[in-house]
Amino acid sequence: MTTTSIPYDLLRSGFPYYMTLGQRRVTTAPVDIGFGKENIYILTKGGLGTQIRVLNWEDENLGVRGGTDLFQWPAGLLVDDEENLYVSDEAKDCLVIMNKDGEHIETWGESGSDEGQLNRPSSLAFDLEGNIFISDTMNHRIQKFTRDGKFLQSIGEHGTGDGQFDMPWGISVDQLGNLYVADWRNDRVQKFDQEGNFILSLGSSGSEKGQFKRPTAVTVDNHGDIYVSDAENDRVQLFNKDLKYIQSFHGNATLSPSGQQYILANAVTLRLRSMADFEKTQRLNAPMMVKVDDEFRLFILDYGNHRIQIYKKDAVELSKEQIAPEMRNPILFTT
Amino acid sequence: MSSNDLKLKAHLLRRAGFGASPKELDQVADKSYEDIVEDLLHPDKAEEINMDYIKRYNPELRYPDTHPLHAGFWIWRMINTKKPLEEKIALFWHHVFATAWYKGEHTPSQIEQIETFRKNGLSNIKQILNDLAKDPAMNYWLDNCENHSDQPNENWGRELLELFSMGVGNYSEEDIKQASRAFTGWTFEQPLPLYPYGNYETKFVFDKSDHDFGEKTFLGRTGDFNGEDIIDIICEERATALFICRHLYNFFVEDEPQIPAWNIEPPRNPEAIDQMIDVLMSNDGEMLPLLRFMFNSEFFKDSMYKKVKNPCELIAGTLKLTGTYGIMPKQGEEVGKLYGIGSVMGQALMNPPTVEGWHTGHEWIDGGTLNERVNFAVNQFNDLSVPGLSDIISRLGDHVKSSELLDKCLEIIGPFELGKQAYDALNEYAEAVGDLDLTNDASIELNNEYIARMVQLILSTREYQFA
Repeated sequence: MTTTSIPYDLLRSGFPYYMTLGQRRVTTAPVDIGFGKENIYILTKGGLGTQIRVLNWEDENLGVRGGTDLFQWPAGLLVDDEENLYVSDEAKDCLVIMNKDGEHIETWGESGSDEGQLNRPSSLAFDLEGNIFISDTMNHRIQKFTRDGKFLQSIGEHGTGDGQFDMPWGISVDQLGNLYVADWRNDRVQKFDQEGNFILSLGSSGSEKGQFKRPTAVTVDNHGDIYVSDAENDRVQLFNKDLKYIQSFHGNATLSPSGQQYILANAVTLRLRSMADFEKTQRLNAPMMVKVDDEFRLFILDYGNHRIQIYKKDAVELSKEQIAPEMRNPILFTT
Repeated sequence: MSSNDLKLKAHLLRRAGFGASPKELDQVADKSYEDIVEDLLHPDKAEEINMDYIKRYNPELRYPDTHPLHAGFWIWRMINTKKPLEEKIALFWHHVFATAWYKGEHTPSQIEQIETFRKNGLSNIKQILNDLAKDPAMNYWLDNCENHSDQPNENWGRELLELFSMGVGNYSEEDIKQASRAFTGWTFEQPLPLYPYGNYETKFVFDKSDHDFGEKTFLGRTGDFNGEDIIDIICEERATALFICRHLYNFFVEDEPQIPAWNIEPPRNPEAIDQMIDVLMSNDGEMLPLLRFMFNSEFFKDSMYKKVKNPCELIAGTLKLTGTYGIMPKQGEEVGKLYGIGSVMGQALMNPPTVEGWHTGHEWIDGGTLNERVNFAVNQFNDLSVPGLSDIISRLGDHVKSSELLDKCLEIIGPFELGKQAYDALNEYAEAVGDLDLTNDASIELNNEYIARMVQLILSTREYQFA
């Protein structure tokens, strides 16, 4: 199922769980993910590894790129068409660029609050021209730069009104070039057009459907569906292009190939797992980042469980002619 | 308000909390001592800490795999809490009911135990002991999960009586066996293993099929007792009240002989202990009346500087002064480091050396730990940009005569008293520095260094090691 333009509507067959990648000490504390032609790049942060871990689709560990010699508090990861790796560093207020083998190409960025300066830069996203949006978290704005660090644009300021932010975190650009921002401390997602004009706001504080508790990331697929990492509620919420709540993902993990291999080699772990409450092992714990690819696979970085849970959308694209016109009111006669 | 009033309030905040920054002392300056005690006793009325930033920049706190991080986070809470007695009483119970991570290496249950102490630490002795008996970390630490109806394990039963309630000499070996039978089947749900996806929580389970429902005779009473019945009986005993009150006195009031000596050495202040016991027993084991009595008592007010600070008090109190490790973490302020600092001073939080807990008082001090304690405190002011130093300087005024520098610094830092020897030595330094004109931009850097050095000298004194 691929698409180039946003369909009128969808017959949503389901969004089944697909597979799990990674495990503790391989993908410990994953904070972001990027995709190469064959490799999957996973940015991890913390005592058990601050680096980019490289996996393939068989969940094989192909080594690491970067590390604390290049970045201290990594927060965001981007992979370009040549598989160069861009990592934001919240501690050093800079962007680190490596090639796919991990060789350092360039570091740019400086601390401050003036135009073009950064204060704890976190999430990254390319615009349609290949420039880089940076979530300039403690300056409460989003800034755009060329790939070599030339300042282009600043969006937003500190506050709670439309177009304002309180510690923005995850960002994403849809296929039309609109920018989506997880406005972390305001518990909402905001959408801006290519010029940076405010379009809409989604969500409010809370734990009900459509509410968020410190959303960390947002992404949009080619159907216009919006996915929000609702981290403190331990879920990812899905909204359609009209902002209607569709469903939540709470986690359905199975063992990753590497996890299964580990357990099968450890008799005590096998026994303890068989004695434990299995329910708990499936659920999300602080989903930090969410991304989708062109095949409508949903990648949830299950941060607290050191793994990536993947789902795959099953839907049929509909034209306007295939579905009855929108209704103003619900009806009970549904046959 | 006299300086003595403020000294007394600072004393209260050092003992019932972890000290107070000059700004925090300003906030209580106009309150009566008794009102401050009431505020401390009712943490539910105080503001919650804003944890957004600490969690944002220490996201590892979202998963309970790494115990140094969470132990360090506890010290961060001690520094930043608006409910100091909640954290202090949790530390107190952690001292008494010492449970170490190193046996089970299961961080979630350690975190949960401390959280339980936070929630129930100011409640009732019976409640506290019941929660403890159902605590998975304690259950595993003292092997009660191996206490089966057909094969009893007496470790928990023994320590409940010896180290957690009555103390040696107040029960028989047979009482231990009978108590242990009553706790058979008290176990916990098997947590998922650490690999491949990290640690998971567990919870108390009563396995009815593994419980000994037979008749037991315990401390002269006979019946089909379960664990809760045993705790009910223990809490009726004066020995339990004595035991708890000696611990409280040692932790909050004055350094006492350590617990192994309690059955041969009487309390230093038997009259105070007797009064505390009466308050505890006449209030059916409620903690609040006892703590209210203790903090308002003359023996507490007279106990200034009669206790060696435990490492947590030293670390949290010093960092309150520097203004570092605050609500918004700065680069280099990873909270896990705080655990390491406490460890080298002899207090690895969530990892006490034995079930007997830490020996306190002068036993905190040896050649190694004293170096660590002094160096830690002094080194915090090596960085002239710490916010606490700017605060101290701003409070000194525009002009400081050399004869006033020490007194003013002591007033701001404490209010704090030095013995004559230290006082005279530090005044020599102040004389060498001379009068300071803090309005002169040209000498601002040098003046800051002079003042930082004076603060460092104060923090390096013997007196600073006492609470």
